[in-house]
Amino acid sequence: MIFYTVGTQLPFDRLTKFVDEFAAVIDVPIYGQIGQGTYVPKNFEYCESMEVAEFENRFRQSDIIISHAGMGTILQSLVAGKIICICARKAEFSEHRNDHQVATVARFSSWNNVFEILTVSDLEKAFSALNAKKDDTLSQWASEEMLVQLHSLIAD
Amino acid sequence: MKKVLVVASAGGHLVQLYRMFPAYKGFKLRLITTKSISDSSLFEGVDFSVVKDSNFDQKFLLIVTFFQVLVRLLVFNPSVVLTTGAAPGLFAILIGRILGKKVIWIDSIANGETLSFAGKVAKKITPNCYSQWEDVAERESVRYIGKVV
Repeated sequence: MIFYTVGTQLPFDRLTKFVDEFAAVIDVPIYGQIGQGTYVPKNFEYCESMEVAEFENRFRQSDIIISHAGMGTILQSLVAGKIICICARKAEFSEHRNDHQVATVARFSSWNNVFEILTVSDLEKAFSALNAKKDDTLSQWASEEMLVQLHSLIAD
Repeated sequence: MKKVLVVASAGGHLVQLYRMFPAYKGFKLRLITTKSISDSSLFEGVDFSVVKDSNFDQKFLLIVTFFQVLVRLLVFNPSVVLTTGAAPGLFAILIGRILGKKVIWIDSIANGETLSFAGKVAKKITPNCYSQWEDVAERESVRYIGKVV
C-alpha cells in the first residue's frame, strides 16, 4: 500500500498530479490526503484531511510514503523504516512561503530509504527500490549528546 | 519541581519537540500546541492545551494566537520555556523573556540552509537560540547543541 500526504497546511497540486500519473501505471493501491487542492485525482482514492488516528493508521499500513518534504512525515517515516518519497514545495509556485523544503531535501535525500521526487519517473524508481529496501530505522529519540546537553540547559 | 513549558506547532515542530522528550525528565511539563494530541501517540499523558494555529502571513490570527499563549503562560508560570517553533513558540519565548523566564529556541532541523524567519527573530530575544546544523549555526552566529536525528 502507498500513502500520500501533503501535510496539514496547504495543498500541493503539482505533486498530486505526479501521484495521479503514477497511480495509473502501478498495481498497488494509493490513498491520498491532498488538502484543499484544485486538481482532482482520477486514479486513486483521496480525502482533503483526516483525523490524527486515521493518519497514523494509514501510515502504519503503508510500505511507501509519498509526501511533501515536511519534517514531521520524514522523521516518522525514518523511525518506522519506511520508504519515503519527498518533493520540495517551492515558493515560486506558491506552494509555500519560502524554499526551506528545498534545503530539507538537500539534507535528507541521501539517507537510506529517502527518495527525492522531481518528476513522475522518480516515483517509479522509488517503487522499484521497495524490494531492495534497506532495513534501517531511526531511533525514537534525539542523540544522547543533545539530550544530555538540553537537560542541563533546562536544569541550570 | 521546576516547571517547564514546551511549545510546538502541530506537525514537524511537534515531532522534533517530542524526540527530545527524555531531556524533560524530572520537570513538571506542560505542552502548548495547535492541534489536539489526545488521539496521538506523541506526549501521551502530558498536560496539553491547544492554541489557534497561525503563521506570519495571517496578521489577525497571529494576534489571537499571541493572547492565547500569553494567558497560558501566565497561568502555568513556568521557569523555562522551550520551543521548536513556529509562531506560537516565538510568542511564548518573547513573553517568557519579558517575564524574566529562561527561554530556549531550537530551530527546526528542516531549516538546512539558514535559520527560519522566526529563528532570526528568536536570535534577538535570547542567546539560547540553536540551529540543528553546525554550519548553519556558525553562519548565523547561533549555538549548536545537537540534532534530533
